[in-house]
Amino acid sequence: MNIFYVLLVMLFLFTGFCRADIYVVTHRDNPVQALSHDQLRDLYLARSQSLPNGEGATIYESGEADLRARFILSALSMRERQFDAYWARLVFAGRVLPLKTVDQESELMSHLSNNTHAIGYTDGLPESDSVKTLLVINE
Amino acid sequence: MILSLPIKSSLFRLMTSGCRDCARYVCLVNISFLCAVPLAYGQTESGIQFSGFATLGVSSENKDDLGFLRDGTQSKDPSRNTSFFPDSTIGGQLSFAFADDWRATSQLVYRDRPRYKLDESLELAFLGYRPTSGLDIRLGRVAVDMFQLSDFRRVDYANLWVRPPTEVYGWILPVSIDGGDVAYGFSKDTGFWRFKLQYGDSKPILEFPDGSELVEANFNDFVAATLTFDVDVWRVRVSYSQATPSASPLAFLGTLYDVGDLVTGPVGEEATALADAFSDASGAKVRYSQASLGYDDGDWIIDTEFTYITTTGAIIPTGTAGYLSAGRRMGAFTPYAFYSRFFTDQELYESNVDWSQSGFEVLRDAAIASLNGVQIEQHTQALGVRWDIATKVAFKAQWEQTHIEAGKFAAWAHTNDRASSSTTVNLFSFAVNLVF
Repeated sequence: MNIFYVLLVMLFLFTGFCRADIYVVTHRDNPVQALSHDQLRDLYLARSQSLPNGEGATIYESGEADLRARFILSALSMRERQFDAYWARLVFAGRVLPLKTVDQESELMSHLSNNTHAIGYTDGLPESDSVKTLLVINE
Repeated sequence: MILSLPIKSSLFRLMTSGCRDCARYVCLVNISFLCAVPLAYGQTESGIQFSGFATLGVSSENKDDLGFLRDGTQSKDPSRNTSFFPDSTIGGQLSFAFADDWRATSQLVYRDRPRYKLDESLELAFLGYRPTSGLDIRLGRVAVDMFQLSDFRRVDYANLWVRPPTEVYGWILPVSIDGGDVAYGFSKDTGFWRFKLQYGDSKPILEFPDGSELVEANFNDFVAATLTFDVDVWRVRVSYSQATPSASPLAFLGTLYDVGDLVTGPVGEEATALADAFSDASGAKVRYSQASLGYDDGDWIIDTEFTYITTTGAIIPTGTAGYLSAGRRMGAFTPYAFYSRFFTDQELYESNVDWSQSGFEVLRDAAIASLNGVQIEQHTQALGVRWDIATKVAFKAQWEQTHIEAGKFAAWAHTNDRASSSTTVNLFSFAVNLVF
């Protein structure tokens, strides 16, 4: 019985470690060191087009369905279709340009390495030295 | 339908016509720019983005002598019962960002119209500039931002229902204006504020209620001031806008004055009074006030909007219009209900004189039909369900029951005979919406 409880506790711990945080990342030379949740929300809801230091930001969203849905829920407190309808209003009213989508993390890394003001999000801690983490979203 | 006469030629008019010409020039530059840039860059990585929206919709109502209209700028056929025309739409949008702060956007929309011209199908064509964070300046052809949903009312995927409630959105004629706007938005604490000023002119094309004749209307000197505030799951919007509508003079107006001059007694007096009603519309202003409150916590979607329309003499529908809507997201399905109403503050014009001996009865009837033909008084209760089939694709089914008061049928395609008595219409609609 004791072994059963030990296994149960380990299972909970293991599940906790397996929970994937979402990392909001940018070019390593971006002067901005961190983003708050509110600043991130303003960027992804097109309320702001600038970084906290006033420089323009280019934001990317993931084309991976699961990651995208988790990001929208965790970072923006919205459902995916709520977010899509929100952006449809903005784009087709001509208020903003459409969101740029990257299908794979490697594609995001390519954009980030070429643009110091680009911001995206990944499913795990990025391995590339050319990017840095601005915010970790705990799901 | 909006009918009044061409107006003033003051210095202000000259100045604003210059502004309008400038906006039209920017539209042209915008299109040329969007065409030329990809060629210049020789690749698709230049920043050009193509996006679009579409609806395949069918609606069916149960009155043989009424035709459903989504809005007043569609073709009008009173005998139409079941049709794909009112809701089916496809729109394509090209956007191009350049020099960090600049962008160009053009949007072409194919939908039911009284006539098809490229210039009228081009609903957006502007240059945008963001000199500082939060400030956005646009010049060219921009979407009219009159009410809460005005500037994306064709994008049905963005809305809960099959279409925005017709009591509030069915009679707004201008879709876009040639002019420009300035918007400034900023975050404070957890809220987001946005102010916007807009100015321009519009030339909507519409038909008589029975579809017999085309009218080229004008919305001159359109001005709108808007304030929106988003906080948490709430959204508040208030706005004020005004315009000076006009249209080509009615063919019978001169004859009415002639009857007024030549025929003595009550018939002549009424002919003059009728003619004056049309002439007084010349240069008259129409004013729109609006307030809306929205709530969306991810599960519940609740919206309400009220509008108040007044005029100094223009022949347009005036009164109070509004709706209350509630929906509940349950997985991929969102059942919803709404109630919307247009209360007119106008009385129907009725003749108090016997014209039978004059020989001008037809003329009088045409004049009165034109005056009364703009009036709306109706209310709708609706039930529907939205099914989000896949990412950026939704299917909707909706039932509406609308009660229309006698003589106030302007939101429907109808004949003058039909308008004489009140009626209740059941409308069933099905639509697939997508954005890409």
